[in-house]
Amino acid sequence: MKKVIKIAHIYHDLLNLYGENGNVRALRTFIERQGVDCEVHNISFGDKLDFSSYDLYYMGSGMEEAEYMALSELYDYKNDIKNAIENGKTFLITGNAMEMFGTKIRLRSTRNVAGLDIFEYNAVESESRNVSELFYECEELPIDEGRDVVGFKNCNSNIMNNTYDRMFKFPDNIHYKNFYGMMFVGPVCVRNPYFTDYILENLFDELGLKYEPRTDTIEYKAYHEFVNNFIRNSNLD
Amino acid sequence: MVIRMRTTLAIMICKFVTFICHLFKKNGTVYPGERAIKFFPKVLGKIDYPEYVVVVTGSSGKGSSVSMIAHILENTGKKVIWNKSGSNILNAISTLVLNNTSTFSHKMNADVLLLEMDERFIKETFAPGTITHLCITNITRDQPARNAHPLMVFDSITENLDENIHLVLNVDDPVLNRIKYAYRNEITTFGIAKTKYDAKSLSYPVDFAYCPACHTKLEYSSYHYGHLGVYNCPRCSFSRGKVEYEAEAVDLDKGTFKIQEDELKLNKKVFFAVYYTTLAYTICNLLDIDREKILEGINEKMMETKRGKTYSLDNREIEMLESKNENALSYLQSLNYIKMQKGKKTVVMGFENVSRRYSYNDLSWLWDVDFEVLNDEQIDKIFLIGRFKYDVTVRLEYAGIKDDKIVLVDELENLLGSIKENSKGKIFTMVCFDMTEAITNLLKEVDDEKGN
Repeated sequence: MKKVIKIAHIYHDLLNLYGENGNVRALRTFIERQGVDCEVHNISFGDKLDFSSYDLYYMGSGMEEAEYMALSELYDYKNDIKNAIENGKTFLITGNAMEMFGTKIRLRSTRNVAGLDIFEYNAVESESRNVSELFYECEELPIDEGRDVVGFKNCNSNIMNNTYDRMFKFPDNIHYKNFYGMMFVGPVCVRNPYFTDYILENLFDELGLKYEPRTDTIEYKAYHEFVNNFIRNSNLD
Repeated sequence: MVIRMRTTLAIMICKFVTFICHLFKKNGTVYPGERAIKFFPKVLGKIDYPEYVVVVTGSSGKGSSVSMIAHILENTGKKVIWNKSGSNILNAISTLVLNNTSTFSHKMNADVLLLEMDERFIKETFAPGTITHLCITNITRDQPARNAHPLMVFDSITENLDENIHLVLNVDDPVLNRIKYAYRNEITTFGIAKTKYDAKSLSYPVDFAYCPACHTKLEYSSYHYGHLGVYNCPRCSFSRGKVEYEAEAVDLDKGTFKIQEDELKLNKKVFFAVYYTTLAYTICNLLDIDREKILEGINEKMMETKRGKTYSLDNREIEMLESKNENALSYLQSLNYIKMQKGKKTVVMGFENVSRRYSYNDLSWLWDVDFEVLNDEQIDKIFLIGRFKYDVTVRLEYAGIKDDKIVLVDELENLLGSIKENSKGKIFTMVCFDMTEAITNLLKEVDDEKGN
């Protein structure tokens, strides 16, 4: 039985704008609580990328300049990424990193930045920055408790022509096989422990491992406290 | 003639409304300017400004830099008009400028107009050619829901540049250093050389890790904090280069450092004091202030630090530190300060709201702050208060801080009792604006009870 789960944090020092390191830390913590070892490899721009030997690939949000810089290198790995996704590798992609997997990013200047063309959606740069706090139900979560997902959006664009399955009822997310993409920025996995359990339960299942959520830990307490304070009586989005 | 009349009337309106505000014991820093601007929107473009109009902008350190510069200049007998309160929106600057301008000659009654300003207000406030010196302290992650990210702040600053401005840049910041390669007019650079307090590597995220020209990872010989440090690109010519005003031999224990041959003293033994003192030294040199006078202002007639009333609890001293939510590096400065203090320590942290500007509950910045520095044996307990105490607890636990050091306090009124019973050592509070007043009131009650 496999006892080490390997995570690749792609461009940890480039696409890590809004505390996204918290996501990788949470994934590691949740995995280790299951008695399974976890190795995190921080990948920098210019490092060789390997899309076959990791169990989970994570990429977060970045400044637009950083995003286009990352894309310039990822074009070389387009087929490897596509194969990895089709073969059921787990990808967790948050923030504007999601844009990169579509066909293109249409800028306000009408110039297009080519995407990796793995999915058929595209991104369109908006007139002004999109900043909002979002609370959505994730219907894929097997239990009622924890279905409210706490998200934050802070980016320059919207996702268009997204016909894929979604986790939440807003267009800027996708669930395809074990690819989870969403335009939420920040430490999504820390703030949504039930959602993190859901992703890891699927990963563990793929790897033939058993996953038992540890709902007695502090992340759950923080989540419920936040939901009680801010969502129950909120009119936000 | 009509324009001159309107300018005169706008100044009169500002002065009159200010008088009325003061009569009714109102603050009057914003409203008078608002009325004057409403009457004549272009009034600030019609003022005869002093020889020097110095603006300080950046993500942090603006207020302390401006205070130090004003202190040195005033010590030389210069008449300095500056925004002491830090209020820097258009209407506040208008109030300040118009109230210090002659009603009929339209000439400002000052040798220097000195302002700390948010970069986004510069363009709407001053016409091109007004600012003589623009000092930029740093650009770091700051209020992401408002500022998006550092490069957007950078763009906003560079949009405001005109050919008359003499730039004063902190080149320890690689993003500010980009300007050096693009701006063709006068630039003076300042920074801090490698110090004994620097880190060789960092465990927390850094912006601008790569060369903007060739995308090679920058090589740092030392990090001061965040992406501020001593770096160069190993592949191309992008580098910090020779720094014109460089702080050397920084000694925080003694509170001293050097620039060229001059020995300087810090008014506060913290790292960022080196930055604001160096910037003040730099700009005063550029304004042709006598060197001896600059040194006198810094070293002999030392500026008093902004310290609030000090309190004590059972003979334990309480120091209330500034805690700036949503600015990870500024927050880190306070954590580092606590770590540097000797002896047993107790820390109080927390906030009821993330921001005073908006209602978003963006907690991403908690994961950009290096809370790992609180892994200090001398810290006895960390008390957490406010609505986000569980979120902060998660962050502290991920930083490796043991459960038994963390005390969650549900009701603020129980805080002082809990501190008394469960902790030891000097008390440092690092609570945000919304909790500071509440804690201060609790402490006053204790003082009053003692008095009774």
